[in-house]
Amino acid sequence: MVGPETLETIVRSLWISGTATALATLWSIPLAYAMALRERAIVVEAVVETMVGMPTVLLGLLLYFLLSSSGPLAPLRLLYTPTAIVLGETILVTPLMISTCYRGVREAVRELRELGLSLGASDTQLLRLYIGETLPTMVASIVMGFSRAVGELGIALMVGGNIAGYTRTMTTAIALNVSRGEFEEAAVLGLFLLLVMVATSLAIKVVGRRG
Amino acid sequence: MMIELRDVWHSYGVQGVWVLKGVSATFREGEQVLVVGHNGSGKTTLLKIASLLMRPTRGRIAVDGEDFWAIDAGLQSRIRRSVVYVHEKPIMLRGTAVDNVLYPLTVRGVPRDRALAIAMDVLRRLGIEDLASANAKRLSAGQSQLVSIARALAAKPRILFLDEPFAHLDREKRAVLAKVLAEEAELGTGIVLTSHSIEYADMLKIDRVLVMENGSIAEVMEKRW
Repeated sequence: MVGPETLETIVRSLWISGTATALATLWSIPLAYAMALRERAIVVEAVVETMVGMPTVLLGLLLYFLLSSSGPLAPLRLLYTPTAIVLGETILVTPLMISTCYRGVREAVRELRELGLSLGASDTQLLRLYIGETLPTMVASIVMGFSRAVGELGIALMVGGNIAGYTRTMTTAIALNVSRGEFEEAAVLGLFLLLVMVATSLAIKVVGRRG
Repeated sequence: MMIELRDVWHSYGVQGVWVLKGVSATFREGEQVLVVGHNGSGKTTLLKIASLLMRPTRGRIAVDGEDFWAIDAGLQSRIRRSVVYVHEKPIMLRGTAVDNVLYPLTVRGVPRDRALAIAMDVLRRLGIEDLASANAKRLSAGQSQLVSIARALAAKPRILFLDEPFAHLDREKRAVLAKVLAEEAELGTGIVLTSHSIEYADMLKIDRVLVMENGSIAEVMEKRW
């Protein structure tokens, strides 16, 4: 039922989204904690919240201008490569991951600070307490980032180019198959994409419960 | 150990609204103090400031004569280990009840075996040893309250501040807690607790009752209870 090309597309999608999420995690999580530990991060908070809702096509278009032959990043030759999609998805999920992690951590830190200080924790022990206690929030925001990355279409289409065997992802393949009237393969990919979404949603719930 | 508050004023940032208005009080090791007053009278703020968790907007906090907020962070951290504050609404850490009680011992570097023995002993004294392996986040309000008090007692503070410690407990558990606090007091721990009423003054052999009204200490009653 699942041909080698479809399987390859699924694996590539997961790899691209996984890499983008891992890269975004490197700065999103520390930034979310840094914001939560500062009492006044209203401006950064507002900017991040605004960027969460940025349409993926708009981000794709901006990246296209930057990476195209007349753009400032043309010498990098990234347009229509999987790296370009990774770059775009990394930028896309960064505000979402910061925002979800920050909101959860901020509330917890307020309570934990008093508790930790009261129980004799030093500054380093306090930081460890924050991280340990907000681990489920951190994991949930990473999973949400991955979910957003794997399901996006605009960036993959505009800077990836939907090249078969190279930059085709699940979402671009579905769009192409539907436009061609090949609904069977689109349905298989759609079903797998749905499975990934359900699995990530379940993961968030499990992590939340353990927290 | 002695913590002195001198002309302490505190505001949470709302201009012109003072939660504490020129409060002066002294809390000593080995002394039991009950702070009574209506909701909003400033009891919790007073306790949080006296337990060195919050810096007052104005006024001086001295620990054994030394201005606490003028000393370096390392020394502040060491002094704080002698004082524990228990929130009215208990905050439970992830893990089991015993993990929670172990936390203050872990931060103090107590070896695991010894820490576990101390933690289990405190839970037993409070009659909640059967909760040791229960998920702390799923405990009832009363159980959480007792675990948070066990966690505070495990830290062996020189002065223990308790905000409404009897609030979520039934009559039987209140009696157990009062007995344990009386035992701690016998051992020389200073105990400062808030309450809406003076019902516990006799049971706990309270030395002093501070009556809070509208952010000030309206009355001090000594050893008549």
